[in-house]
Amino acid sequence: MADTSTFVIEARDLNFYYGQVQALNQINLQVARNQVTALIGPSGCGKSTFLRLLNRMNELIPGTRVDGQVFFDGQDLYAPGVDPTEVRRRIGMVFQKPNPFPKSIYNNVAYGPRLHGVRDQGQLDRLVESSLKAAAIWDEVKDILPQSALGLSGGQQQRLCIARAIAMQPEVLLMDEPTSALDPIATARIEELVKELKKNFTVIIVTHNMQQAARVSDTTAFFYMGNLVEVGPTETIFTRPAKEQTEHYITGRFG
Amino acid sequence: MNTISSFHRQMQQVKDDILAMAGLVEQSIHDAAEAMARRDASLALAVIQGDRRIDVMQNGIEERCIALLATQQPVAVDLRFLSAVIKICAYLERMGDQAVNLAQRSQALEELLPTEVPATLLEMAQLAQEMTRDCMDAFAAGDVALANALLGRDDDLDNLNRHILEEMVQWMASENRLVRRGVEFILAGRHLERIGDEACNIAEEVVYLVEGRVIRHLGRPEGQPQPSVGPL
Repeated sequence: MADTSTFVIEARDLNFYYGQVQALNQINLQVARNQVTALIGPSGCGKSTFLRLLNRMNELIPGTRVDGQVFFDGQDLYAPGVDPTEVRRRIGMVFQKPNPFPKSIYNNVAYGPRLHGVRDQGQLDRLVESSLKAAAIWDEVKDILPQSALGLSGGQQQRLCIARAIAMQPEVLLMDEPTSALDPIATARIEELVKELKKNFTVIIVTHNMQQAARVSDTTAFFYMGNLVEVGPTETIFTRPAKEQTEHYITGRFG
Repeated sequence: MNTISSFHRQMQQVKDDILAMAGLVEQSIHDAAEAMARRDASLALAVIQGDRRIDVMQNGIEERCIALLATQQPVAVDLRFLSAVIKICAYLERMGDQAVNLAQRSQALEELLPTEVPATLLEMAQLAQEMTRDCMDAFAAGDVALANALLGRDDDLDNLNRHILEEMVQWMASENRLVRRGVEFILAGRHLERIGDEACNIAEEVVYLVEGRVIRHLGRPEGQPQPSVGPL
């Protein structure tokens, strides 16, 4: 069993099927705690599928099947009796396009904790403030908390969504191309934020932007056609990858 | 599936250019050695005047590499290639400078009484030219075995350099009027020895380019003697 003080997530012999189509083949991957792990690979390689398996999001899609195991702090997420809602609370997710609720900024962040039974106003206030601070957006919104979240810029909305995920006090944050809809300045802010977040969370990020993977992650995993081809320290992957397939992909030598 | 992008075409152009620059440097070293062996003042002058072209090529290649780093953000082998090329073109430029120094020794000797060039020095010139050619062949082909073999041969050049120093000291001690010529030959040996050092620097970059391993300052490959400090 994995050393839970080092690795927060471990996939073992993980296979995934969309109907008859096998989307992931025998994935074995350990994710280090308080690090940023980037998943890269061409479209359809299985990286987003793998990401969604880590908080049981794929089972919302009919006709899919998982075999193998995903351990989270030593507990198999796919064991009978595990509550997927609790899994998703402890392993939060940020999506490609910012998707704030059509509510006030305050209520976007307070929504999850309220749903989980936090009623005390003082406690909610503190949670909203600390989450917005952790998502590096507090200074921009502290005076407009009652205003609609939909009035924020795309980059602000995405940081608000990160604050909303943080408010659930997860251990792991999954990010599925979190900056693909943002301009370069907003992207740079999110990237800085990701580097900050790893002090308190483990971050796993799917990105099509290889330079982003190189900039923000400690570990990079390269997926190709449903296989995990190579995983290693980001610096090594981007200077001297071990596998030819990895080299061809990151240097743009295959289409 | 492999696709050749405009980026990779530009990388190939950089490679072609540095090989062309290396061709000029090889010619320059060859001509400088010939000028000394034949007391050919006009050839020596041509080497000195031709160095400008090498300098201009270095600047051009370096600028193109930096532009590609800035605009393409290359990684892995492409990153290693550009980083290696920037260093290799600086080493080549210094080899060109050593050829100029050697040509200046020829000019100085031209003003002195004719003397046969010591055989050891001719041997050094031959070896330095071979090392120059081999390091760039290793670069062009990504041949690590050739690069490693070259690193071993640098000691031969160092030993010849020590040899020429001893020979010249004895020669000069025999007669005062030989001192100027002796000093010029000692300096010529030093220039050739430096060319060998630069060829070894290039060979080390070839190993980095191909294998991603930095072997600089690590000593020689197993079974080969460690370098010793030269006499000058």
